[in-house]
Amino acid sequence: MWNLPTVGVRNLEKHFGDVLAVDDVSFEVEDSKLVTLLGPSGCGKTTTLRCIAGLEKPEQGEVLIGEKVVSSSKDGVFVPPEKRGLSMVFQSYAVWPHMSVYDNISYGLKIKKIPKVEIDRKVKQVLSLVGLSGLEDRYATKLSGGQQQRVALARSIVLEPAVLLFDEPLSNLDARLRESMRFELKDLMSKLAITSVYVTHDQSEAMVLSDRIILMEKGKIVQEGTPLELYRKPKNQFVASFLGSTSPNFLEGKLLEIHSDRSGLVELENGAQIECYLSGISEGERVIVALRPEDLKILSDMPRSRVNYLNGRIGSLAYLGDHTEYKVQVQNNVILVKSDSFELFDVNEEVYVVTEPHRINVFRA
Amino acid sequence: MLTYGSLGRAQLTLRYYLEAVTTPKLIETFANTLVVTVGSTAIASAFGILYALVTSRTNIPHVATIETLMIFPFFVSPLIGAMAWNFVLGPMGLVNYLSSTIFGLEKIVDSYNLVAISWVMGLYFAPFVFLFTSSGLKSMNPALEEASAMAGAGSLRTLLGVTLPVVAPSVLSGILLVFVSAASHFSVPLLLGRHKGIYTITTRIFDLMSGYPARFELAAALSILLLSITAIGMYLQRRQIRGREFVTVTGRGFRPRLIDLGKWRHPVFFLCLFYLAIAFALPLIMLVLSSFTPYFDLRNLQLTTSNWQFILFQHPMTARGIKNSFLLALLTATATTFLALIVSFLVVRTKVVGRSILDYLSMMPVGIPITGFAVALLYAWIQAPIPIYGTIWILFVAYMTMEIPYGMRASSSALRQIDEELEGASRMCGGSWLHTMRKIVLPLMKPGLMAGWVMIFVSSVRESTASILLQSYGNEVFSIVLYERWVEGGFTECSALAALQVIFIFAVILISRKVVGFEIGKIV
Repeated sequence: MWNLPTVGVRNLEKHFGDVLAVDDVSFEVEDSKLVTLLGPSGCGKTTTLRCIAGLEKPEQGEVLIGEKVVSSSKDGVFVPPEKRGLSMVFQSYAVWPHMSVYDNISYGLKIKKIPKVEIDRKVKQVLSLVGLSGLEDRYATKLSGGQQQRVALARSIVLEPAVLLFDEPLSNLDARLRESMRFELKDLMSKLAITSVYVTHDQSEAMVLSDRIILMEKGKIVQEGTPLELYRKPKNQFVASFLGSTSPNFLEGKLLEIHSDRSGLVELENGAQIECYLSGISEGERVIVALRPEDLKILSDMPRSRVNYLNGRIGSLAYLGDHTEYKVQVQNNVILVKSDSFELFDVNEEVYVVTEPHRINVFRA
Repeated sequence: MLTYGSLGRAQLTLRYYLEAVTTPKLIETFANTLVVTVGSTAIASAFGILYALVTSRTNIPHVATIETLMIFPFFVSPLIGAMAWNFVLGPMGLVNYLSSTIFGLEKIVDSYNLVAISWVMGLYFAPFVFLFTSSGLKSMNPALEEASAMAGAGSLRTLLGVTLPVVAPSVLSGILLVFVSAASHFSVPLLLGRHKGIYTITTRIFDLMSGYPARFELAAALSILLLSITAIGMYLQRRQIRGREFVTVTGRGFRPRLIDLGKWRHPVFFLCLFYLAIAFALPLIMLVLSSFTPYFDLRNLQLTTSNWQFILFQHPMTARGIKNSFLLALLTATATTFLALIVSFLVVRTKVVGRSILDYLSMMPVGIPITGFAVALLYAWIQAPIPIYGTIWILFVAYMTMEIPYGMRASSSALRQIDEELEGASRMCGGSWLHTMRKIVLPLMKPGLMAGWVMIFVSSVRESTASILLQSYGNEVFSIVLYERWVEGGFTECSALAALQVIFIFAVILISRKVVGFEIGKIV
């Protein structure tokens, strides 16, 4: 159980018609880790997953499961999906409607010609694992969406696959169920410790479940790292706006000075000066400063420091219980602030929006 | 092949086309065809649209029953329909009998004219318009009508201003389909027109082919002219339904607002039943009645079972016809379903080069008049080295060609309804492609395939056009047995034979409803 293989994807390429769906994608998944392919629809994440599964044939590149090359354009190797020792949980659940829960789950075991007694035991075990004990004889069409998803999951893990693939498994569930299933799945996956590749467009799902996130856009990998790395140190504007529940405020400016400790000073177009940490940008370059709404604070008094504040007026506000969203008009810009402060501000009140240097991201414009 | 023949084989000439459009007799033929086509299309459209509106937009009781009954006429061969109507409208028919005994008027109607031909054809085609219209009405988003109601429009205004324009494309495509089918229709004008010298293009082609010497070139020229008319119609029809041929019905049950008929609910319901009784039950009752008479005369009605005894126990052709029809239908349905399964799989699930051509080819027979097709088939196979002419296999080829579009429709819509992920899931569980087909795809397609099979089986049993044109001695199918009896003047024996076929077809439909849950109207 502990020597599960890793997944290797090298220089994968796949066209659909004239569209380059997957463009030179390479990554690896370490033993018993869960890696998420995250990105907007059409970014090539599902195609990449289907290439690993063997449901699509890539035009270029290799796929490795453990030591074994299962797909290679160079050597003309293409192992059909049923011979790869993988399992997959599909977006539509893909629970076969003409079979009972038992028949669905035992399907793959029967193909493997496992003795009936053993099958019964395994089905029972996996059903209790996913919390569906006693539903063996139920037909799939008589189950709720959440239950169908559990059947699909049980059907995949009962085969004890080398790698488990997930294609947006929660996106067809309603919002509340999706949130609770997220944590349930996380517990289950850490219990089972199966190497997994998980595809989703939902950043919070990726944040909860992943050991590592691979963010894709237009068929290419944009950035990969732990959820924390992607959130705290996004490589560019796209990553910054994709991770986190709301997009950051992006403000244009110019880098005035940079110091040896990587701290720098940016002057925004509205004249405010921002102290922050950055690298790879030289003095005088145009930059974009990303300020996350949840990292900003609103004060009614002018801060003592000369930098890292924006002076404006409250344009509008929305009280949401656990926090309040303000739209602050700062000259020509509208700055979104999520404030959890008990103190509330009124529309048109003059305020100061402040933040801390290490919470600011700066990109080359 | 047909074009080649029409141009005079080796010496290419337009002589036959010229003859086709200049001979007065043939000009009259064209005029007759136009009259029955327009007439029957109008009748079919009026009834079809009205019934679709009543069943899907008003609160009349027993909607499901009315809907099912409305499709029944489709399952009665038009050949039999024509025979049956002869007993209602004919010189000795019910209407003339009633008018003379009650009002003392002699012979107020006749079944041997263009009006009667249009009437019988119109009733036969009404289910098509009905189905197209009601499927359009049922898949229409009810919010469109609700929005109109919210804007202050009344029921009638909503119906005329919103509902009808929205469903117009599906209605129109139904009407066009009927127009094309009516133009190339054969059996009704054959029975009710030909021996009184009333010809349409199709019966004229039949005469040219079966006369001596056979005037194949002229028949081919007429076929090509007919084909160009139907091709235009089919082109227009396909344009109407382009991109919407396979609209899968979503699981969401649309619940349109129904017009409350109030105290008119039951009267309208009985009016619907009355139409069905007149259009469908009455001729069949007369048919059955006549099958129990030695000669059909309502003034002097004698009852006998001799017709039934004759056809069941003495007439040697009955058994042969039943056997041939049954085997041929069995074979056609099975082979067509199998072929359609393969083709639809290639079209729907693979990226094989030329799959769109395959799809198009398989749908093409819908636009080809059977008469013209039979002429071409005859000509092609007479010259072909394979000895198929004069055997039952020529009918097999004709039936299969005619039925492949329906098989394709059934098969590919069944396949399209299966989410590809269901197959993917099987592969990921270790199932090979073949295992997946056997355990997942085919079981899920089964209801659709079975429905298609029953449909093809029934259509093959009641097929008359190609059967009459391509018949040969010793290989008579049941429709031929019927037709020959009619031509020989054994009208009442013919009635018994016709009743037998009707009973058989409805038995098949009832059994398949019980056994495979075949739903009438799902597939037509």
